[in-house]
Amino acid sequence: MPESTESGPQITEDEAFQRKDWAAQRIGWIVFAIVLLSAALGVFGGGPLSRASTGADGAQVQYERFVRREKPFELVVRLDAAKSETVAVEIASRVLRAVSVEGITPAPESERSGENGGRFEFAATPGAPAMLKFRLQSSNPGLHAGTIRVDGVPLSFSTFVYP
Amino acid sequence: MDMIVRGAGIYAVVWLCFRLAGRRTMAEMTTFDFVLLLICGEATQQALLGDDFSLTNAAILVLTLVSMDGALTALRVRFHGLERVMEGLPLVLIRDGKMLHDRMAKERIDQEDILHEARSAHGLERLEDIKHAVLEPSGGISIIPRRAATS
Repeated sequence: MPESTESGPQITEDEAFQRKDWAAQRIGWIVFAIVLLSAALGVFGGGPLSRASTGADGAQVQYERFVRREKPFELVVRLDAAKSETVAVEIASRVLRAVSVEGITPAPESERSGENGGRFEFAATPGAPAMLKFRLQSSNPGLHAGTIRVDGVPLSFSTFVYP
Repeated sequence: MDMIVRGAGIYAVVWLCFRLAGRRTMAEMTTFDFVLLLICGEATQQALLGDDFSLTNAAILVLTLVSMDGALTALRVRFHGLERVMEGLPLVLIRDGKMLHDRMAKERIDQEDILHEARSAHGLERLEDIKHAVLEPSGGISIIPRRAATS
C-alpha cells in the first residue's frame, strides 16, 4: 500500500511481508549454524562423524562414511596377524568403478584383476600385524557400497560422496 | 550436463546465502563486506570449473549463468509477487525526521550508517537535515534531505 506523501516517501511498504522476510532470515541463520556445526563434526566429510571402521576375524578396515568429490581420502586395512608371506586385498569391481586408487602404502608386489575385483598382493611377515593404506579419490557423487576382502575375510563398507 | 548442474547449483546456493544473510551484507560498507565479496568469488571458482579447464567448459558455464539470470529476471517481470520474495521491499528507516529504531535494529543499521550516507550522497551535516531515509532492496540507503541541498 503506497504511503501518502504527507507522512513519508511514496513507496510500497508491507509490514506483514517484511515481518515474514525477517523471520525467514532468522531461520536462514539458524540453518547456516546447523550446517556449519554439521560440517565441523564431519557430516560433509573429514571429522569425527565421518570416520568409521568395520572388522571381523582379525581383519579391519578403517574408512570414511562421508567424502567430497575429488578430495583424496584414506582407506586403511589392518590385519592382526598375517596368515602367510603374502597378504591379498581384493577390492570389489563396483568400488573400483566408483573410486580411483591414487596410491598405496606400502606398494603392492602385484596388482591384478581377479574374480573378486582388483587383487592387490603385499609382502608380509607371517604372524605379524600388517597395515596397508589406500589413497582413494572419487569423481562420482552418490552412495557407494562395496566389499573388500582382506586375506579372504569379506568386509562391507559404504561411503557417500558429496558433489 | 555436469557443468550445467554445477553452474546452476552454485548460482542458486550463493544467491540463497546472500538473500538470507540480509541486505546490508551486499552494501559493501565495511572492510568485512568487501573482503567477503572478494573471497566468495575465489571460493566458487574451483567448484565451477572442477578439473576441466577447457574453453568449451568455460563457455557453457558462462552461458548457464547468464541464462539463469535472464530466466529469473523474466520470471520476476511475469509474476509480480516474486519480486518481493526475491529482492525484498524498500523499508522506511527515518520518517519525517523520526528514526524508526526497531526497524533499524532488525536490519542491523545504526545511526552512523545513515549519517555516512547523508554525508556522501548529499553533503548533509546533521541528523536534523534528513527528512526521510529508505533502505532499498539493494542494501543501499536513500536519503531525502529536509531542504534542497545547498552547494
